[in-house]
Amino acid sequence: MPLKISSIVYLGLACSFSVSAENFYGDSYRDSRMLGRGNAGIADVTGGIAAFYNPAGLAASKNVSFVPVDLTLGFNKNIYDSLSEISSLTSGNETLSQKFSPFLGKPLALQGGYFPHVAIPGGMVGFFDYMDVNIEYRDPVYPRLDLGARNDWGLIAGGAANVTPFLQVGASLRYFHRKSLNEQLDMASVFNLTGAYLQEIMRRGEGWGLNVGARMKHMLDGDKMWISAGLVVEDLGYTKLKNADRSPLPYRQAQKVNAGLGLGINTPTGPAKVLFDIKELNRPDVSMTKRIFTGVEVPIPGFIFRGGFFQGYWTLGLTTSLIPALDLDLTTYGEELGSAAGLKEARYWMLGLRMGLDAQGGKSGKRHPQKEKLDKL
Amino acid sequence: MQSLMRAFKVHFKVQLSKMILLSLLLPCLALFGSCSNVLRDFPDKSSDDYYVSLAQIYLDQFKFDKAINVITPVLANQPKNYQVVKVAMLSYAGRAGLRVLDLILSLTDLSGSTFFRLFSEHFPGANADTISDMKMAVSILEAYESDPAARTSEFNVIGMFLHWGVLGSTLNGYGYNSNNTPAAGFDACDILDLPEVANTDVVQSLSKALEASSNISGNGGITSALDALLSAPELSAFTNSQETVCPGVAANDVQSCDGMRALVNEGSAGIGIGAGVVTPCP
Repeated sequence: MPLKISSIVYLGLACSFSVSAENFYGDSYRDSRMLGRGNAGIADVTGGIAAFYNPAGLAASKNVSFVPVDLTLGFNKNIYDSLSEISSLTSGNETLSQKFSPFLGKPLALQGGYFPHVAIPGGMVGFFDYMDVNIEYRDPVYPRLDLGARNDWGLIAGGAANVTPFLQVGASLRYFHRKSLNEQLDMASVFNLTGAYLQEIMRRGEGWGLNVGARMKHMLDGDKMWISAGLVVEDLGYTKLKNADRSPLPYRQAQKVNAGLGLGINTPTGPAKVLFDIKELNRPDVSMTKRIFTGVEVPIPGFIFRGGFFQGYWTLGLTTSLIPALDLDLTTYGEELGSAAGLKEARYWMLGLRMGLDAQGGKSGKRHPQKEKLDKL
Repeated sequence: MQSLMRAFKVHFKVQLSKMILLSLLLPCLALFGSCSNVLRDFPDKSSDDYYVSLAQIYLDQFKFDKAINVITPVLANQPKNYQVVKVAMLSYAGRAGLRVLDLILSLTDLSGSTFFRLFSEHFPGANADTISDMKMAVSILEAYESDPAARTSEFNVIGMFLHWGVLGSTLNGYGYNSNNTPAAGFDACDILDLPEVANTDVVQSLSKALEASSNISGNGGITSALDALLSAPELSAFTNSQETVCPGVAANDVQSCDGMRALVNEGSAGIGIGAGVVTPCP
């Protein structure tokens, strides 16, 4: 009889998971180099990645780039910390809630992206696959598992043009499939978690997302310095996803209006940049401190050094060339998980690998620290 | 050949210097990790969202006092806000010692224990503060919505455990000693000596827990299972009061008295102390 009661309680609890808001506010893609400089760069982003951040930046590229490998992998430090706690789960006389307590409030997160692409002056086309996973055990009293996972893959193409010598406009269109989980599972659901149940709550859909952007750049002091400004609307009109089967639909990708300013200086080793972005201007309900991104990018011999602040948390990035045509990025950044800056940080450590060729190097859009060598190829 | 070797040496030196720089940089990054947020002083700290987020973080850190301090003013402003109410009642219940995860797991195997004993022994060392916190959690829930039928399924699940928590902490507070075993001599008849408020709390909590459980969507079996539990001889007094069991008790307290006696009496449903079937007290 007691067993029966508890089983029934389980079943009752299992049906009580809740559903969150219907908009998904995660970024479409996160690039390790951009993250190193605080994920700032609406006003000054070039190369294929501009299709995600500000398509107008595609007009600034002077190179033809073929990048078959553009890989980013990252995890947050809680994953490392949690490894040492796993052994405690099977030892001692502690209750289960005590055993799980070291994991409370510490999200375990993974990120990864793959973005092979071809870029030409004024345009690009590429394939992308981006995933992030965030699992967090919360609340010691009535525990729940916040489960957020998403995998997008699809094609993206973008184009941009110079309207005037100072003004560029551009757009990018991506077609993508999404699988996502956005659930809060209570403990009974977790204990009953099966592959079939995960499939049941997995959201699947496909859609078309349109980014449009503009960028102004004004040269100062001859060609030694410039200032720039950018404005982009990501997922114009909100990107709704649909599917042919009856599986739950992913939340629609939220429209974001982002703006940025940049200051650049041409140095003997390449352009150095100072960048400042305010994102999600269309969401005044979100704390401003969560919408500010700043960064610098400084080329030094053999490296490109990046630093900045992502929602107030420091970021650092370093790019170097391991061998000609193969770049390595090391990046770390912190993201705010609370409602305002300074409440709760998730710090990520990321590794990026990029292999490709540039041709006809120009003054703008220099991404590789040893581009001169690449250009000679 | 020599030029090739020279080029190789130069390349090796460059790569080596990079590795040295990287090996120096990584510890620096780790040191930077202790730095906090440069914008932390700028958020609007008068906003309720900020405090709800902060209270939730304190809750995750077992800092229940801080969570209560932070969420209380927000609750005063928004007693009908779902998230605020949830954080507030869980903060009080957490301070009282409620851990639903442990209760759920214990429910999977009640061998050697009983349903009510489980809840009573979940609150070792319960005192007036413990009971007060549990009752505060319940009052927050009822201020949000007193009718279980109008509450969400999640709130009824939480509510069910909160009511069981009031019941368990009260029984533990009055009938258990410091090593979390039933106090010597504490039996069904001693229930008559409990303060009336405690007696009432326990009986009402039992009733409310059942009502909440019957409003959990998708739980068709819960009600019937608990009905079966209530039909056990030890609990039949709860619904079929017999004045003979509680002699000398005012008529309006008879059912309460019987219910209390049934809860602590021996058997698969009772707390497991007392002398077996419900018999008249001396």
